[in-house]
Amino acid sequence: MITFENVTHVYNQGMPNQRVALDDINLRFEDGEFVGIIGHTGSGKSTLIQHMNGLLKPTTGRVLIDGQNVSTRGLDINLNVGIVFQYPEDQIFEQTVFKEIAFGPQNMKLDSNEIKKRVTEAMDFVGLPEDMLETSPFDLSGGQKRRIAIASVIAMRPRVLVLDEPTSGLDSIGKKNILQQIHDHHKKEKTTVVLVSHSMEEVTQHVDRVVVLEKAKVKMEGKINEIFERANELREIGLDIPRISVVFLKLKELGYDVKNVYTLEQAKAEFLRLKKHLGFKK
Amino acid sequence: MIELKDVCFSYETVTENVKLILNNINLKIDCGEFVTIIGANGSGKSTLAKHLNGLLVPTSGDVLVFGANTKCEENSIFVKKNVGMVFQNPDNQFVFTVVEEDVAFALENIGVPQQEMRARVKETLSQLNILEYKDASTAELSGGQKQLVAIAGVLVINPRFIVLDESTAMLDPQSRKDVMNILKKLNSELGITIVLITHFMEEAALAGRIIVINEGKVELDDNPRRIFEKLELLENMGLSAPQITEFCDELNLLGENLPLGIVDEDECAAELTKILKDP
Repeated sequence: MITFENVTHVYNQGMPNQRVALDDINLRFEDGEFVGIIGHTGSGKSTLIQHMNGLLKPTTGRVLIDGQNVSTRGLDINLNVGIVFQYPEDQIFEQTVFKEIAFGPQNMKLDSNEIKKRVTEAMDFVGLPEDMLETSPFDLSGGQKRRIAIASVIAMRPRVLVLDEPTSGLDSIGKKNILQQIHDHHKKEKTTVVLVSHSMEEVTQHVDRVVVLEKAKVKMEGKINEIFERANELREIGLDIPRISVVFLKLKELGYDVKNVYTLEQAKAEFLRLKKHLGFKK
Repeated sequence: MIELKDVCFSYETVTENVKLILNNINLKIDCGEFVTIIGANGSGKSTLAKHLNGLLVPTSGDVLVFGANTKCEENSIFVKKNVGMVFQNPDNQFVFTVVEEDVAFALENIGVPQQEMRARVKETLSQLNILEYKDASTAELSGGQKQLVAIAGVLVINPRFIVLDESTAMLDPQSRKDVMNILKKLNSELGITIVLITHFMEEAALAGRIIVINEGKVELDDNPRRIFEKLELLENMGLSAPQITEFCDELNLLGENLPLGIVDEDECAAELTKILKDP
């Protein structure tokens, strides 16, 4: 479990360009949860996740992982919390795909058989063929590089997997695939997953709980349906809600008795329910 | 007007086995159009974009910008003056750290006198509603603001075409809307032709014309409605339709008879109320 207790983070404290990036954040991430973090550029999302493995330390307040203070605990925290940063393919540096993915496990001082096993597993997880292992990652497409960057974090088997905008710049199918793989991994390994995203549409398909950040503070927090009860507030702060939700909000405005929906399945079910309710035979 | 005639492109020497990145592209983009280009990762859309202002020239075939062939060295300045390019990551495009200086860079290059330069930069920044950041450091700006500065750097030379290669990919939804609104304005008020490459189907649907690139070829070239009614074909190419289009399609599978290719929330709601009217 990761707990944020009154965490404030100030960049360039005392300087003319001082900026409060996190302002008194209190949050809890339970083991095995799938949480989405939504907010604008500059709302504090990236600063927040960098506190989860001690890359950044709170200016005031503290972050606890299983009750221990992240700031004072040693490097092993990185093994527990794996972060996939934005545009992770920019950080690829090894000559072969194998070496790139093996880099983390090697640093963990695992033996070579275990390393091989981990690399194979990770490649499988991101859906890349094994015959790619000896190619240079720089010869691959953007989507493939992204997968390799994700695989290199997966290979360390972190208990908590944090992904910052893992789908940006990918095409629709690439997006769907990566999210599905993360979802499956979460289900199978009971890994805690924290997914940072601009897109409500993306997040609503997968997460149990949503945290909305706005101007360095937690603006909303709760289950998806609770957050969507406040769809108008979301729109006011400029977050996009799924288009299908907008359609149903319009039906509501037109006087129809419909519930809020945020996925296609829900929308379909709700439309059928409404028809039945209005006395349609079919 | 930009014309592409039988354009093929490969980074390697063309032999029988070499896969062409662009494979016999024929296209015409007229002045005043708002065009979006969509396609899966690796389909060749960025390569196509780079052909529009001569950053790349065809291995075979021709690209003509107002009749000037991009292959001819002597047309290079003419082509770049008429067709501006904006890329995905604005940070990679900035030359100077102060907004005003960076926007002035292109004018300096073509020898515009100091005074006129200042006036034009100021005018451009106000067209994009970012005059207040004139003296700011580019590093202090948000992603959306940075992208507008990058657009200013191109707009300042008064191009007839602006090509944007996934320039909204890194932005949050609000910034994306801001950039789209500015592009719409440049198109409708100044008559600048916009060619926008994007992965966001909802964004693509806002254009008058969508070109779908698949494996180096123009697969579809039509208005959004006609494009998005071809759901299955899009999926086969690694693309998807806007969520609303998919929803209508699923209802149709359940026996409804909604028009194909609906991309707009209001239209969708209106069509649904038609169904709900008479039980």
